[in-house]
Amino acid sequence: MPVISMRNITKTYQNGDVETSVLRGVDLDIEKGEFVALMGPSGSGKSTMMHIMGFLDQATDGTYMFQDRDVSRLSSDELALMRRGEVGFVFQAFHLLPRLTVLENVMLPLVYLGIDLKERKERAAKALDAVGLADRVDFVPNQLSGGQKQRVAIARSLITDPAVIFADEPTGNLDSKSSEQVLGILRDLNKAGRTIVMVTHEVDAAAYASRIIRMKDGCIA
Amino acid sequence: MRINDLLTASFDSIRRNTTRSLLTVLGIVIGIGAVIVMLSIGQGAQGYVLNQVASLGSDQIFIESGSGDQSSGPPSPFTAQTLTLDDVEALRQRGPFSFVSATLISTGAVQSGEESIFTDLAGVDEYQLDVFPADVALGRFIDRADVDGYANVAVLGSDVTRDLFGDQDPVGEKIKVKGTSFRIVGVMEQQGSKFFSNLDARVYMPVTTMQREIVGADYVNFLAMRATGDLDSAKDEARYILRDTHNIDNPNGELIKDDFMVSSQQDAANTIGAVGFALTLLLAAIAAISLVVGGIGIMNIMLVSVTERTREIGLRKAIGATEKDILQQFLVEAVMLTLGGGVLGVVIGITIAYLGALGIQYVVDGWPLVIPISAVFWAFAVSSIVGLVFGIYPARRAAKLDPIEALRYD
Repeated sequence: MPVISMRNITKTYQNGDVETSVLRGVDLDIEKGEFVALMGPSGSGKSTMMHIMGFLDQATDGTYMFQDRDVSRLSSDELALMRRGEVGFVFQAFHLLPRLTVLENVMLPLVYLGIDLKERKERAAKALDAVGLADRVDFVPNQLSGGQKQRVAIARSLITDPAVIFADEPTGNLDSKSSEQVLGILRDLNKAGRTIVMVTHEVDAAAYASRIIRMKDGCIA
Repeated sequence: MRINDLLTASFDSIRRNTTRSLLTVLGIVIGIGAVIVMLSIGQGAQGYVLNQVASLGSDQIFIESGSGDQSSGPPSPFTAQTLTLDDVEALRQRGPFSFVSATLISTGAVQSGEESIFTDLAGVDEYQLDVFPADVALGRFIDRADVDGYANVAVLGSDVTRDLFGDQDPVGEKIKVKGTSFRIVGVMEQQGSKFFSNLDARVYMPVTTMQREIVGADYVNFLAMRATGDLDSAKDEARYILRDTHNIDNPNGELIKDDFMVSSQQDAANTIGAVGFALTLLLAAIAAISLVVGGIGIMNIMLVSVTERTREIGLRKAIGATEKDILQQFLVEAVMLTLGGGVLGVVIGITIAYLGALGIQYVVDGWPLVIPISAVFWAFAVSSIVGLVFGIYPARRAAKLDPIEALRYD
């Protein structure tokens, strides 16, 4: 049984009288435990695919089954609830809140799950340990290197124990050494059973994945 | 999101920008503070005057010269003085009054040996202290025989005694009032001020003597008396008697035709109450304007804050915040800001009102310090409502942001 199963997914944007098709009938299955790299030139629709898979956006048409549940049509609150518990995100720009400490940043998703402070701290410390940053809990993001920031973001995406982690160009802002470190962590997580979907246009990064899906003009090539 | 997490998050974000938060709520602080100060001083003034009225007794009736229609304006210093001792006699014999006392007011030089002061003179009769209660410290007050016999006797207020005689007992000594010699027969206890006039700076003498020797006229300035029955019918009775003695043909009781004005302390109290209510309405209007202006300031800054924190909002949405979560966060922040401003305004307002009352007490004896408790309650309620009303638009804007757009925002 696939974690993600998409059939004939389309996405069109209406801009005045002009209709732009970003996805034109995509079929895709991702099995539990896979590490998938989504590749393609800009404008190929790979980011939109990730946004739809990650409940940040919705398809115009088609069927989306997530863990055997039809999630093709959800309200904005239902989408938020899916993001809250079922998926985690790692962004190219890290998106850490600058005024919060490393520990507080990692704890943040648990706030919306209504988990008390003591458990939040314990789980955040464990997640930071898993990315090798146990000694940086009281730092603020500005005191960290780019690679360290991205590792904090990975810890944050892990903390809710999501079914899938979506990484959107996770090495786009990093030097090659940090990139290797971050990709190594993602590979280790995948080996431990975590399903990962990574959007990238770097061949080196895609090499860490167990499967590469190439997109072009809104279709899987 | 749990309540305490919500409060912590909002408090943190206000604390991060302490200076900006303070400037943002300054309008609210000033508005609330100003209203507290004005209400405190306004209610203090009202309390002060009502206290003075109450100390004279609610059965007191007061008659002055002038048009009987009070709406024609305040008494003028040029009003013809129409009240005489014959009126006093008529009121005593025919009216439902327990005491009727005439008073003639003037000022003049009072001399004892080398010492001379310029002070208030009061021509009175033996009922003065029944209508305006006060105690005699030494000797006696003006009596019936003094009035009937045009006696050259005087009773001194405590300030006058101190100024002219120091700690000496002045009873039996002579003073000169406007060149006429008087024998001191008594000294008053300290009375303080009533209606902004210092009663201790008075020299009392028989009204008859003062008419003949000092003023050279046969009028008196006002009559004061205590009603024995219903206050309103006593006032009507007084008017009826005076129309008779003044030969005024006024069968319909039109006050404008009278050459005297009858009032009671109760009337004064009612007037003061009405003025106080109007003052409160005026303050409420000013407060409303300043709070709307302050609220617009809050809305402005909240909109800036939403724009600044677009990426934060995007991230929060990406990790599962619902529209309601974001809305709550920004609303709580706005209410926290305005409520904080309200608290600050109340504290500053009470401090200034307290210092102001201390300052006034230095000049005006018996001025009360009033902290308007209900205004404090309203300040908290209204500032919270301002936060809600002016926070809702920015908060909705934040809540409606599209997470993908928000994350990409630079």
